[in-house]
Amino acid sequence: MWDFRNKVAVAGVGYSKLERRSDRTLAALTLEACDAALADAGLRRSDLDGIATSPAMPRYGGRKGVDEGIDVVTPWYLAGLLGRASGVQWIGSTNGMVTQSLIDGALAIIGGLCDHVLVYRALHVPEGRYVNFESSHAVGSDQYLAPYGFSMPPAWAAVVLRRYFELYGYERSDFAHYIANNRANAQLNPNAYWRGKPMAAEDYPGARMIADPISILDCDIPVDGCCALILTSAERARHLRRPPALLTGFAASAWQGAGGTPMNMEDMWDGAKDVAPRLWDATGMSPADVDTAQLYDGFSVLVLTWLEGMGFCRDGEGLAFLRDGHGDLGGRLPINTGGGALGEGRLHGMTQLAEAVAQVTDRASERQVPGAAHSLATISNGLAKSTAFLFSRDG
Amino acid sequence: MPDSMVPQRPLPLPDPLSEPFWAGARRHELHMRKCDACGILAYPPEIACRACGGSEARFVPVSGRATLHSWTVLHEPPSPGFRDRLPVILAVVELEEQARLLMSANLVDIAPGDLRIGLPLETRFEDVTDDCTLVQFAPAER
Repeated sequence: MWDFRNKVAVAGVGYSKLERRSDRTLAALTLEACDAALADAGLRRSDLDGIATSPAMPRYGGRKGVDEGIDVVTPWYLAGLLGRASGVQWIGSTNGMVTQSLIDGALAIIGGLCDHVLVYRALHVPEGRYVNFESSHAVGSDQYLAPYGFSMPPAWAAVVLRRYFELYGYERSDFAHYIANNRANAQLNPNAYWRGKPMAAEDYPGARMIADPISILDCDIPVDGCCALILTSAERARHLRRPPALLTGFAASAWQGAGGTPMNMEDMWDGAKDVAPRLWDATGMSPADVDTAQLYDGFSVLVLTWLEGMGFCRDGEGLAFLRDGHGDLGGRLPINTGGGALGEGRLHGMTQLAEAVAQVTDRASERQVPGAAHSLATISNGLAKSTAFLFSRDG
Repeated sequence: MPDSMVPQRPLPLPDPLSEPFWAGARRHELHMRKCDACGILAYPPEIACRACGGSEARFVPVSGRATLHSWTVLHEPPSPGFRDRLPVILAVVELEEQARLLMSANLVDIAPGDLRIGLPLETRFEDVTDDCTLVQFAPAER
């Protein structure tokens, strides 16, 4: 087991408004989320001495991540905006996902480098299409994909879902219950982009197709916005405003898998199955201990590979589990209780972290899983840069 | 609009690691990088072998025979050069030489309704320009 099990905690969570295209700058949205997280924890800007994020802009083709404050907010820049340019003791920046920043921040606290770490993710929706491969040539890894039109993540996810359907005899209608129920969960989440816009299971089969069988309802919606967490030691967190969400343990994936295509089902399972035993070893827990699971859903199909890879279902049985309602609030394993990224908007894993925190601190109001003691959060697709966390209730 | 104004698909820009692969394609041959130490084939070509860490490797010709691992069909252009090529069948194929030796390509000479996992395929080389040939796949003729 990890020596620092339950020694670090999330003490506060803050969101900016999540909008399709905001008329405020990304920097302003980031400050809104950071100040909300500090206020939630009962801290002031002057208490912050650590900041970490993954600032990259995940755009495919086109210009990306070049204008500080507009389409990226790096932690150095943010330290200045917060008036903490000279107060910050530690800064973390990763080209993995922001969830790696949570690991870095926890280790910085354990290592005594700083006391209160802000972990945030700010994302901007660019002009035009998010995925827009207009260049005449493709270099690097793109040269094996873009000439064939294989330049957009929905298509990468589509070949995984297609193979899953074909091998296990499912069809799109089998996903309708989960997708509609997930949207119902989002109705109970004040931060969710799709709050106030419910959908019926009957809306799913006819949804606009992006890359068959991935429809618009299988993709998280890109938003302008930010979510921020405050990390501190469990000891300090117990004296702050909110009950702490204890970080029981984590595991990260370096599983590369086959080249030739960015995602394939077998390697996504293998990556998750590489992470899973390390998470259970670190935490001393097992799938049976998990009361609610927040499984990354930048694309719907990822819920399936995580559900199976983490050991909740056998390979190929995840979709039947969801179809039969076992992932609903009140089901055997409530999944993405706040609507996930499909319901909340694209925040690259912050959604899953924030919801796990809410559930183990009894802050999920109408969507609370009663007494939830342990919540899993898994992020990305199981391949390299993926992470899994277990958060636990204090006391 | 004159031909020169029709947007092209993004074309591969070979680098030192990929040049032998694309040069093979121009000769209508499929080459894969093979580790000298363990014999594992890699696609895309890698600087070092992901299976054993070996750093010596060479390009070897492979059969071009494959099976269909999975696919998606696009009805909207993924970039401007695909406007007149719809629907696009994006396929992931598994080469017969090695399990999980996967390639992405387009499928030609087949209708979307006839696709199934495991379908036997073979290469079809598409000469796009004098310097660029793409590796595509079509149903195997035998």
